[in-house]
Amino acid sequence: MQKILLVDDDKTLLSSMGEFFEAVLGMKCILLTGLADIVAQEAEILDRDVKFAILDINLGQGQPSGIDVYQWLCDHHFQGKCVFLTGHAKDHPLVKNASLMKGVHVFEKPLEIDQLISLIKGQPLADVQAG
Amino acid sequence: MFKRVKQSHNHNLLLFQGILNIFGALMAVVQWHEFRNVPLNLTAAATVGAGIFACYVALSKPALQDRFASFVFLSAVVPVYGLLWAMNGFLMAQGKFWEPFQPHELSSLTIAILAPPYRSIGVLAILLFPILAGLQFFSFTPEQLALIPSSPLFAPIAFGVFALVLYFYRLQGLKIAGVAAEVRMMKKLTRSILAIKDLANSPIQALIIDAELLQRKHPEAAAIAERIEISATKLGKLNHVLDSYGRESKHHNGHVSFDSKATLELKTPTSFPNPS
Repeated sequence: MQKILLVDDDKTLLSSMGEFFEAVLGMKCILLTGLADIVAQEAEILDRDVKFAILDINLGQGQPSGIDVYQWLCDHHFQGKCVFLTGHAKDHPLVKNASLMKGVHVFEKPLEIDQLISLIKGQPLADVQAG
Repeated sequence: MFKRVKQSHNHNLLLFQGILNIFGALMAVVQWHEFRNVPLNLTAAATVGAGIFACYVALSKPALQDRFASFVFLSAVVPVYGLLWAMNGFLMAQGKFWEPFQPHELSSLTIAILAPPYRSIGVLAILLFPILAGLQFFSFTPEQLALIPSSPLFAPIAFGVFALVLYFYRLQGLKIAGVAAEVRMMKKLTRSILAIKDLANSPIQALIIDAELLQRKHPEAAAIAERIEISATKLGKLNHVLDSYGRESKHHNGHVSFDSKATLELKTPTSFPNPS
């Protein structure tokens, strides 16, 4: 069964997204709030069945960011596709940094339902460009 | 913000002018009390009274608009003209050689520093010193003129001109301070708008998803779910408008590296989900 890794510090949104992807796409979701959780569940995350990762960029003041999570995933040879999802303006420094990373797209919240589905199915979707 | 600063500025001006009135008039009375000169004592008393009134207004009125403060200021200054006139008349009557109009010079500079920003009153208050000096000079008899230096009007007129320049320079400074305060306020407003946008995006995203889930799991609630989704989508579009406002604002300067909750001074992390 294909799995999606969802990382966001907003637990309400995390639950909603997890339930949505399971109900609509039949994919199991791994719901985590930060880098510490990821390190703790390394084996499950690096499983070949995890095909997709949606990473929130700002994971809370003073916490490692989504970019740190992405870096960790790259360092540990994560096989799935990664995208960033952010509520910040595109000229926020963190969003700018994320936009500069190779092979990863940044999308602005809120996405509509069709866009969320397209995102997981790998269909084209306009992303945020660094200002 | 700037309005509050200006009003506080007006309070200070009236307070200082009131104190100067009282201090100056008392000095005149103490210096010449043995002569018991009635016009001098009367104008000194009026000056003290006007000074007390200015202090009272400054200390008791919570808000002082420019125009009102300017009129109170003028009412405090009017007896000073009378006091200076009476002083000059009194000194001339002594029949000794003396240098007239020296207090006019100092007073015009004081007015330039203290006059409120209501321009016509400030200018009038300054110009009255050299004008009254001129009127009094031309009222002197040839015998009286022999007791004072030649060309005594030059200094009061020169000080009057300096005072006008100083006054306009001060007004320009106040205007620049006003613009700077406005820019600061706009920057703060822009940052607040962007912070609200950041904090709102995750809940809006959750609402859009939950409306879809509600529709799928409970088809009988489809109409409700649709309304929630439409409203959430509208909120999302509104947020994009706020985003473009923040980008287009001249006061933004691209400095959006801030913690949204800290920007809005939210002390309770549980009251809002984290911005993401």
